[in-house]
Amino acid sequence: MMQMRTSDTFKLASKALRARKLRSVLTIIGIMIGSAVILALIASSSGLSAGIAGQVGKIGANTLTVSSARQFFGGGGGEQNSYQLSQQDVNTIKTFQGVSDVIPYYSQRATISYGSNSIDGELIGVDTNALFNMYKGLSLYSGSMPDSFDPSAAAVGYSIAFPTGSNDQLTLNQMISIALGGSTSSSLTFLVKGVFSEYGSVLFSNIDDTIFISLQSAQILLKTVYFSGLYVITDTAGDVTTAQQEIETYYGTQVRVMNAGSMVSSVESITSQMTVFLGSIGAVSLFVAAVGITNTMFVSVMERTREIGILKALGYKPKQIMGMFLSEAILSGIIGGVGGTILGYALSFIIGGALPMSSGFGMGGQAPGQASSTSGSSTSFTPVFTPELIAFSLLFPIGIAVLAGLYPAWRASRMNAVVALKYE
Amino acid sequence: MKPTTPLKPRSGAAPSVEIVEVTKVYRVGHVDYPALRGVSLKIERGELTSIIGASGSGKSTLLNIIGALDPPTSGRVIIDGIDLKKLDEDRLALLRNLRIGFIYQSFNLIPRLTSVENVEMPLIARGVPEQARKSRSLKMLSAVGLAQKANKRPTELSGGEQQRVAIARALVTQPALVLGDELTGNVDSKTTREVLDYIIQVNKTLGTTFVLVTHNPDVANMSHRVITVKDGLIEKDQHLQRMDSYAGL
Repeated sequence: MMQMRTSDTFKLASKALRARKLRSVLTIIGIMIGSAVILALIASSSGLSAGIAGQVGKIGANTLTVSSARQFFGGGGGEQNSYQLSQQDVNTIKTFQGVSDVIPYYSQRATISYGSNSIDGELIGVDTNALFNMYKGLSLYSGSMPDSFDPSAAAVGYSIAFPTGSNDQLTLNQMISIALGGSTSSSLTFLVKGVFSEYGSVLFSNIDDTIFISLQSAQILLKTVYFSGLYVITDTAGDVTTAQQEIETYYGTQVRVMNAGSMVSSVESITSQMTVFLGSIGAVSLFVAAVGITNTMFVSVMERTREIGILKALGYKPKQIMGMFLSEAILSGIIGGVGGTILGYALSFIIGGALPMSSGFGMGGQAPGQASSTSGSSTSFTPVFTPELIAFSLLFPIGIAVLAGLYPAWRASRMNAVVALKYE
Repeated sequence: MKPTTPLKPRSGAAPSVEIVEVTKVYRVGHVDYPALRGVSLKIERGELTSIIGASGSGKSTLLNIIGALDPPTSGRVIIDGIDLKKLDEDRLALLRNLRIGFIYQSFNLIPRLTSVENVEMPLIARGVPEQARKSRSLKMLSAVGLAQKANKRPTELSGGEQQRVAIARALVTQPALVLGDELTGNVDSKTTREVLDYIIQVNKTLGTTFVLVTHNPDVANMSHRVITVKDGLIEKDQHLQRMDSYAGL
């Protein structure tokens, strides 16, 4: 005698699910939400992690950034006592072992306007010849780099020259005006000499939204001799640790030194904790869904007590009856898993758009003595879907559904036939 | 209604049903209720037997024990030469599927399935491919005169039609033994006549053994044998002149 066919088991299960549509749909929605939340949250947080790591990676493995420790703890009274980086520090650090170059920079939030456009971005004052050392792969789209001694010359990022959704585009040698963040009085005018190709974000600063001027111009315009930060370039990637230790020994806690590698790992530790945290929120919702399945299944087993008696009289074995009920749970799990994966995929892009990586630390610090600005440029991130994650979000709900359906299905299979047949 | 293809003769000459000193005690809380108090009975192959008796006399319990649905408290039950005591639950299920058909007063059809799907159910349990079981089930439905209602659900059928679907389901596996529990209890007299006629024909042409629990004297009158159960014991066991057709009654 042959065994009952699996396809028949599933056909009967699907008929049973369709016979109580509303309840099945509600159960499946519960599973879908759990699966979608897990997928969306994990994909988003790994996307965030990958995005940040990618940005940090652009500054290169042989680069350190040195900034005043003040930036970490915000404004207030601390500013008075905070250490301020000057040309003397540039000279000091240059003498350290393994250091090949020190590039000071000024950085300030700014609103850039020309024609009908007004763009929130950043003003960076830096030795324009050193720019290409700081940002690997940066290139000019058109024009030339501004002359270091021309206080009105600037080069701008791609998005400033070609803002999305605007027909008003920048041409070379056009005048643009800049209002510094946090300062209502200063409005500056620059002549655009060059436009960079699209580059993206580095350390939470979007280069495409940045206007670059020479260090000297920035010093004059910002009316300060103190730098926002220093880029320290070492001879080799191996010198980074030594140089960092030397700087830290020399300055103590007065400055904050970061290297690309340590930034990546600190970002990763934050985002991996976030992934675990968000993943557990998803897991909790899936657990709630599992309780829902168990509940639905128990009600279903009770309602169909008589049917179970009929099946027994017709010669269905306990394991066949168990299989039929379990298949209903599995089908709910499959539909919920597939639906949840699709929903989660869409959801993670919504999260990716709504939770942009905000700029405001690292490279984008304020020049000392300037009030901090609340406006900031931001970059959204792309969620990351690994095959493992997709497989997990498809299969985990099925596993949960099986576990949730196991006991009710077992109860169904153990029912006494005679009692079940008398059930009204 | 016409009987379908002949049943393969079973090997051996063992009686269809043999029960020896069977008792059944139901325990509710700490109180025992004896339903059968030591019943011995042999039903030969091809016999059409009625079991009659008052409510609570133990006749349904006897039927469930013969049908391998309920194990006796003591005593032996032998179906087609197989001692049920030696069978585990899976083998008991197999025995029910292969050798026994059930027909109930309340039809016991699965409400969400169509007539033909209901008839297919015992064949699904044994893994008969869809095409084969569908054609067998449709043939069975047309044998009970319901070919036109194959795709109707039980709620769309009259009581008599539902009972004929239940009969088709019980007979589609060509069982050696068919057990009926008040099978005419919920149908009108015309359907009763049709159903009993069909049972007589199947019994005559295929040699199927029937054991029917009934209150209906007409059912008892068309049987080979009428067993009266009272207080958990067989009170009377009468062999009657066989009727060829119920139509004359």
